[in-house]
Amino acid sequence: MIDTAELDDRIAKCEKILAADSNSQIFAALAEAYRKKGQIPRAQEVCKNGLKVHPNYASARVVMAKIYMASEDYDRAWDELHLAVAASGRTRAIDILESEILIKKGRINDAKVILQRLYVSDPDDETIKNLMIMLGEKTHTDDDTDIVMPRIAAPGASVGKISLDEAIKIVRVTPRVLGAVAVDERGMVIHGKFDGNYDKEEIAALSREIFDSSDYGSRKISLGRTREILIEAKTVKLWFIGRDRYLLVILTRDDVSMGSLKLKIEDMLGRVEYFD
Amino acid sequence: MKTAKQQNKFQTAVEYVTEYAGVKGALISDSEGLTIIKSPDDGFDGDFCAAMGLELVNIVDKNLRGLAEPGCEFLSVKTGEDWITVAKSSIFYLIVVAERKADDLLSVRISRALEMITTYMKEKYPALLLSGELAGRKIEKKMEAYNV
Repeated sequence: MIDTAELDDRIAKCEKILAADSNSQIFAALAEAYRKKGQIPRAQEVCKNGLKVHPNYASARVVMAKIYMASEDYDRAWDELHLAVAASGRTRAIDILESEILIKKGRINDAKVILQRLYVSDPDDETIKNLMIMLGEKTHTDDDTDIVMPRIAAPGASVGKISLDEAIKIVRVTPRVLGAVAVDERGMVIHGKFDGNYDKEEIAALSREIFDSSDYGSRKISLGRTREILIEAKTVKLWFIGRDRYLLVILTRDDVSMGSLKLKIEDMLGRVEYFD
Repeated sequence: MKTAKQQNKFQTAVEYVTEYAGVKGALISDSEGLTIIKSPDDGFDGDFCAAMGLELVNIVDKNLRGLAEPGCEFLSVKTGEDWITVAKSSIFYLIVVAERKADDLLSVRISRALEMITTYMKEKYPALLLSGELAGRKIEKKMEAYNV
């Protein structure tokens, strides 16, 4: 929520500057803020107009590429990215974005080459690690558990699908996420764990109890089945997502970006094949 | 009885939430589920929503005890069609019923409405809020919310 308020504030400030000076390069920051807020058409409009005045502004080209990515127009995103390279050369951010575009375009091996190079230069970069995990590449984490690596496709699964276990491992390496578990209908852990002193069995049981009680209550008063519950406490957040065969429980720090996490989870849940 | 000014401040807060796209209604209740003010006046069963919201809060608090002391501050429940929020501000609850498909930014608006209520209560009734009657509650937190 704070992130969104900050974005609103940033947009207001950028709009004010741009209104005072229509030639300002602030348009790139404004477009990026709109993109982050999910207002893609407005982001595209702002960035396009700005690039007419500043066609060689590489940062704006990168923003434009991200906007096209959000629109799933990967060919245009690719073109914009290479206009950015032509304008000011390659940067780490450009390399990361290029690997993401390559993944979307299905050029997995090309993406891996870039990501492996980036990983070697900075093994702690969470973005790189997450992308590598998505591709089934190994990384070395401080976590004792799972040195990562989910396959892209489980046996018998379609391309791009991942198992529930793999999905949970990906969620767990998200910044500020303290752990995630899949819980069955009896409140028993199917997959996953939490960091530190959090007892996964206890949290699983409590989560199932809360979710089922809410579900019972919501159905009793004709609101239909409970699908999601988000609980925010002083230091942690708990997010329950009900699925047909399991309850996904995600525990985070209180300062996690829920917007980013939701996008990630939505994408993830669309790819999970629960065949265990 | 609430003063006209207090009613207006509270009314402003609930109307600020209700005017958001997808919101079916909002109300402020006390800890017993008694509706203090609601919006809209017609076609929105405030008493029913207050009772339901506080019941959900109780379910969560009962089970959450020990895991997230001193308790949950923000709780949100989404069903197939609805998105229900119960948010606590000082000694009151702000309860919002919206369509499931309402924009996530509704949460921001709810937070702002809570701040309006909390700020008003702190200015108007600081002694009450700090009295023994409310011992154990985290009055000084920026936001105390149950968002069901």
